[in-house]
Parts: sequence; structure tokens; C-alpha cells
Amino acid sequence: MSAANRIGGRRVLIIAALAIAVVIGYVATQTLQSAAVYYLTPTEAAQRHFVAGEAARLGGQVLAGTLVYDPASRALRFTIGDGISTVKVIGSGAPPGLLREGAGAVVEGSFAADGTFRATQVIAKHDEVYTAPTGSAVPTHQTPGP
Amino acid sequence: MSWGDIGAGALRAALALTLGGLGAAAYAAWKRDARALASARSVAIGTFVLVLIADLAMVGALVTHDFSLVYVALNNALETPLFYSAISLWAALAGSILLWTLILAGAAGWVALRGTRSLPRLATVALAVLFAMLAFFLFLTVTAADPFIRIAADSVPSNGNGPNALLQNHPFMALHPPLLYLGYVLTSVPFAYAIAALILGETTDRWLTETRKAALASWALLGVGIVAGAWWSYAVLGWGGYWAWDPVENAAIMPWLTATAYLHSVMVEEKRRLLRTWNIALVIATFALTILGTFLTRSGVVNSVHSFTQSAIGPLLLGYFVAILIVGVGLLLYRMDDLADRGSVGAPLSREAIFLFQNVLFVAATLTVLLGTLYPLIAEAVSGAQLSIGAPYFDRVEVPIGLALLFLMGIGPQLPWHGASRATLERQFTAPAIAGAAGAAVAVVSGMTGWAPVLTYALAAFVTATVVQEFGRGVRARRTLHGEAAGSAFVALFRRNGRRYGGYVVHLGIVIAVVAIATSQARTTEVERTLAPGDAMDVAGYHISFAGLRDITEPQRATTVADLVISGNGASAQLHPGLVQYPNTESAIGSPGIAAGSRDDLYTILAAYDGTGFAWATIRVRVIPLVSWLWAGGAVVGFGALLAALPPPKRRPIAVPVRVADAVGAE
Repeated sequence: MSAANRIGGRRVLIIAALAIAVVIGYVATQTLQSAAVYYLTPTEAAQRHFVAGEAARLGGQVLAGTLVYDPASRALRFTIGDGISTVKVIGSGAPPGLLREGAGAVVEGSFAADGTFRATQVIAKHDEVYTAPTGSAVPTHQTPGP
Repeated sequence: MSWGDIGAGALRAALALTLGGLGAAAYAAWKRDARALASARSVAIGTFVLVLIADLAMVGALVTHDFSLVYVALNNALETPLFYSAISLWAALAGSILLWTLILAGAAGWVALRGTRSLPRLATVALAVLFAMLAFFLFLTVTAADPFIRIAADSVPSNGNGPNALLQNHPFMALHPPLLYLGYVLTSVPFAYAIAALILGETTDRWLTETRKAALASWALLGVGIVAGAWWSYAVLGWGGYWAWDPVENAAIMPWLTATAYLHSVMVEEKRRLLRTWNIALVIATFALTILGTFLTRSGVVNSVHSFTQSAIGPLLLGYFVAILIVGVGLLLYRMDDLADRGSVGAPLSREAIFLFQNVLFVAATLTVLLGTLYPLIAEAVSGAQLSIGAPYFDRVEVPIGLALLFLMGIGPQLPWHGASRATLERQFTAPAIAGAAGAAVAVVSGMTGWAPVLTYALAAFVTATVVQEFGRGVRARRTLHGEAAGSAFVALFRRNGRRYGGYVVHLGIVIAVVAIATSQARTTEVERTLAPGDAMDVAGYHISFAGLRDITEPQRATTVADLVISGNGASAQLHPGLVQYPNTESAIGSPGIAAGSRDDLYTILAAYDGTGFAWATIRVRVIPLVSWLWAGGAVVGFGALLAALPPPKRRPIAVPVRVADAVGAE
């Protein structure tokens, strides 16, 4: 393999590596645009005054003590909040495995006339903090010391 | 003295001692002072013992249900079984940090005892760096993540909350977090040595050979921990999947990706003295990503960019991450000229060129995962828009990158360094190319649709053929040269060159895992039916009869299970998917019933049932092909890494002069 060959090879190599990086960067940013799921917080949703039945997507934190699933009726109920407003969500089917109180959730569906949100899809967002990030460090059912 | 007193005292003493050790190690390195080094060593051992005492105190408090500690009251109950009490050490943030600190203290101890004997000056500076990190984590354990905070004596509860339901539902919880933490923390050893080399202006690659085993171990533990986590997710969360591209998973896979890139590019440095700046950058990036991941998953920032300041630990971890980046990148820029390569990667069809492409792809995979993970936070911070990035983004971007990497995995090891001739290409790739075509045919015949699964099968067969070819040639060479039998020649390959042949075993493990992923993703069947007792359903050749529902009451939980009798496909099993109610959660948690097999898993979920008369149940059934092979693939990867770490046998003196690089590489 001659020296000239190698120098040519090196240029090919650099161009190829850069081309790969550019293509991946382009595909990633394009995909990001199309795959992003936008949602409103309960406060923003309240300001938008949705009509009953109009499609909407809401996101917030599942409030502690609100997540209830009734196996018989398959009704899934919980409340999401953003620290200012809250929305009661009613869905159907067992909760997604990652859905839990204190963690984030995105719900797709529409508002009913009574102001509850009827979710057709529930997406859980979670991190490793298994309890609500706010609130006291003392268990809720115990009386904190003075 | 209570558990709390012992633990809190030990941590504070450890922090004071570590700060002293930092001073001693720095002084020892600066003045080459043997006595200071001796005291730094003693400090490392003392710190490890103290942190061990603190960890044991926490375990003691958990198993004796000492609810005077907030951590125990929140994560334990009188009903919690002993096993889950003990492993609740890592059930929440403060305990996890405690375990993390213990592993870090262990790493510092190892460097102090072993490292400072082989490379005294370098290891002493590395030890100082590790002491600095240890001081940070010990600082966390006495401030933002104090595991020994007490509840006022007059309000100590009679019983605690119990561990998080998801964490006490399966013994795998005992396995995957410690594996991941070990992997995360061991990345700090190569990092500490790299920083030490930069500080001292080391021009040799000694730091790199010295930390090879730590880098390999951290990579393998991270990988096995990720697979164990996927298995836990599969067996516990009851959604029938194992990977969801959520931030917790992304946080674990990002450092694994850069570590994989490093394990390969480091060979280019060893063989050709190239890519030195790049390798240090990868070591810094890997370590920084473990901290970034911890910040993302522990600070609440995933829920909202504004919530991380609500957690006490968020700003501290972010500050630590920024400090690591500033120190790492700053030192790297400062030493850039000393690290300049003498020579360059040449021919596009050489092993080093494939490593270069492989590195570009691994870094691109890391950056795109990072982008998808951070984009919602960036968008919220910049425009206030709320959005989430789901699996479709990651699937569309990472699957092609993964397939390209699979292709390079077949090519790289077959190409010689410096460049390949046409004859070499034919010799190396004829059989594998035929195997690849056969793999594609198998995929099409077995009914795979879509380019990704078919290409995965083709590439998997291609890579497997290259590995088999390598082993075949290795065995044949040994038989000719040494007259060994085939079996002993095969074993000798690992004994003589464990790194290379262990690496091939790792590649085979990856192939097994990739085929399992492609097949289980492409070919899962899901059926949901509402059945009365005595009814049955048929899914993909399985006959599932529903015998009825029953309640199981245990001290710590109440479970309603559906009894299913499985037949067909040669299976004969009873499955009991259920919904588990823990006293500390409102909502019941699904607990799947799984009949695992080599051909497919029958995954059953109790989706709904009649709570009043047990008259009916809705059963969701997923038949997931080859998914067990994913766990097996993970085990093979771990085993291959073990083989690669085997010390070679003592070399007899031989007449042929040994190249310095080989002698150093032999360790």
C-alpha cells in the first residue's frame, strides 16, 4: 500500500465519518420534530376553554392519593396537576405499569361536559424518584413532630 | 447507641477522614513523600470501613424496623419480609447514595492498595481525585441525601410505609440496581487515572493499561445491569415489554454506549498510538454521563425543568456534573499539544478505520439518545412548550445506527491493521457473506416482514459466521503448531488470548440479544378476552383455560390471582397472573404470569375481574418469541467479558524478543 494511497484513504475516511455524522444529525432532528408529542398543562387547558369532545392532550403530575383502578368496571381514575390547577382524568383499562402517584403522565382524549377528562390513552413518564418530589419527608399517615 | 447514631457518626467521621486523605494524597504526589502516601493508604482503608459500617447500620435499621429513621419509616414496614427489608438499602434515593458511596470507597481502597504499588505517582494523584469524589458523595450523605434523618422521639410511628410496591414485587430488585451502581461507580477509576495523567502531563499510555480491567468491569457490569433491569421491567411491570426508552433507561445506556466505544478505540491507541485525545475524551464523557444520568433521574427534572430545584440533591448533582466537565475538558485542552498523534488512521479498509467509524456511530447513538432525553427539557426552558419524546423517535434513530454497528462488528475483527488487500477481503468475507444471505432467507421464510428484522437476521448470521471462522482458524492453527486436540486447542485460545477470544464471545452474546430483540419486537401476538371460570382461549397454539379467581392474603399484601392452566406447544403449566394490593398504594399493581420457554414466552396479565362475585376475568395474553434469549445474550456478554479479563498464563522465557507493547499488555 503506497503512501499516496493512504493519504487519499485518509481524506475518504474523514469525509465518510463526517457524512455519517451529518446524516444521523439530520435524521435525528427531523424525527424529533415529527415524534414530539406536545401537551398542555392543566392551567393552560383551563385558559383554552375546550369544548366537550374536542381532542386534547394534557400533561402533569399524578397527584398522590388519587390513582384508583376498579378491576370490575375497568375504570381508571386519577387527578393530574401542575401545581396550580388540577384535572380529574377517567380512563379505561388497567393503568400502564409505569403510571404512579407523584410521577408524570400525559393523557390523550377530550373533556366531558362535567369537566372531567376522558382519556383514550395514558402515557406514563417516570424517573427514579418513587415518591412525590414535593411535600414533607415524613410519611403522610403519621403526625409530624413539633 | 441506635443504628442512626452509628451510621450518622460513621459518615461524618468518613467525610473528615476523606478530606484528610485528599490532602495527604495530594502532598504525597507533589513532594513524592512516602509517609504521606502511607497515610493516604490508611485513610482509604479507614474510609471504606467507616462507610461499610454506615451501610450495615442502615441494613440493621431496616431489618429491625427502626422507624425512628425517616428512611426506614418511608421504605419499610413490620410486614416487609427480611429479604426485601435488607435490599431496601437501595429502594430510595438516600440509601442508593449510601451504596454508591460504599462502592466508591471500595474503588479508592483498591487504587490505594494495588494501584499505588504498580504506578506510585500516577495512582497517588488518581487516589486524590477519588478522594475528592468520595468527599462529594459523603457530603451528600450528611446533607441533601442524609439517610439517617430522625423522626422526633414523641412521633415515631408504630409502623412504616413499606417499600415501594414495584420494588418489593420481585427478587430481581436485589440484582439490577447494585449491578448498575457498580458499573456506574467503576467508571470513576479510569476517569481518575485519566485526570491524573493529564495533571502530571503523562505522555505514556500506562494509565490506560493500568485501568483496562476497571474499564472492562464497569462496562460489563453496566451492560449486565441494563439487561437485568430490562428483565425486571418485563417480569414486574406487567406491560409485556422490556424497554421503553424512558429517561431512567436512557441514563443507563448512554455511559454504556461511550464505554463500548472506548473499549474498542483503546485498542487503536495500544496498537498504533493513535486517538489518544479521543480516548481520554471518551473516558471523561462516560464518567460525566453516569453523573448526568443520576442527576436526570434523581432530581425530578424529568417531570419538569422547574422541579429539580425542589429536590435538595438536584442542584448539587448538577454542580458536580458541571465541575467534572470543566475540570475534564479544561485539562484535556491544556494538554492537547502533548497528546497529538504521531501518525494517522490510513486506509478506509483497515481495522483502525472500522474502529473509527464504530466510534462515530456509538457517539452518535449516545448524542441522539441524549437529545431525545433532554429535548423536552430544552423545549420547556426555551419556549415553555410541554412535550414528550416517545419510543418512535428512539426506534427510528437508534435502530439504523444499531444495524450499522452490527455490520461493523462483523467487519472490524476480520480486517488487518493498516489496510487490507483484495485477497484478504475474499478470504475473510466469502463464507460470512453467504451466511448473511442465508440469514436473510431464514427471516423471510419464517415470515418476517419489514427491512429491519430481515436485515438484523442477515447481519446476525454474518457476524456469527465471522466469529465461527475466527475460532475455527485459531483452533486449526494451534493443532498444526502445537499438535493439540481440538478441545484443548479451543480452551487454549482463551488461555493465551482471552481478550481477543473473550471479545468474540461478547460479540456472540450481542448477536443473541439482537436477534431476540428483533424477533420479539416484530412477532409478538396479543389477544385479550373476558372469560368465565371454565372458559378457555387459544393463542398461537397455546390452549389457556381459566379455572377461576382466588384471593391470597399475606401480611404485607393482598393478591387476587387468576388460575390459568396452559397446554399446547408442548407446554404444561399453571400460571397465576394477579393484581397485587399493597397497603401503601391506592391502585393495585399487575403481576404477570409468565411461562418462559426457549421458543417463546407466554405472558399473561389479569387486566380486569369481577370484584364482587369472581364471575369473570379479562385476561390479556402475549406470546413473545425468543425473548428469553435476550437475558441469555446478556449473560453471554458478561461471560465473554470475564474471559477477556482472564490473566494470561505466565510466559516462559522465549528467544524471540517481545515487543514492549505486548509485554505491557500482558499485565
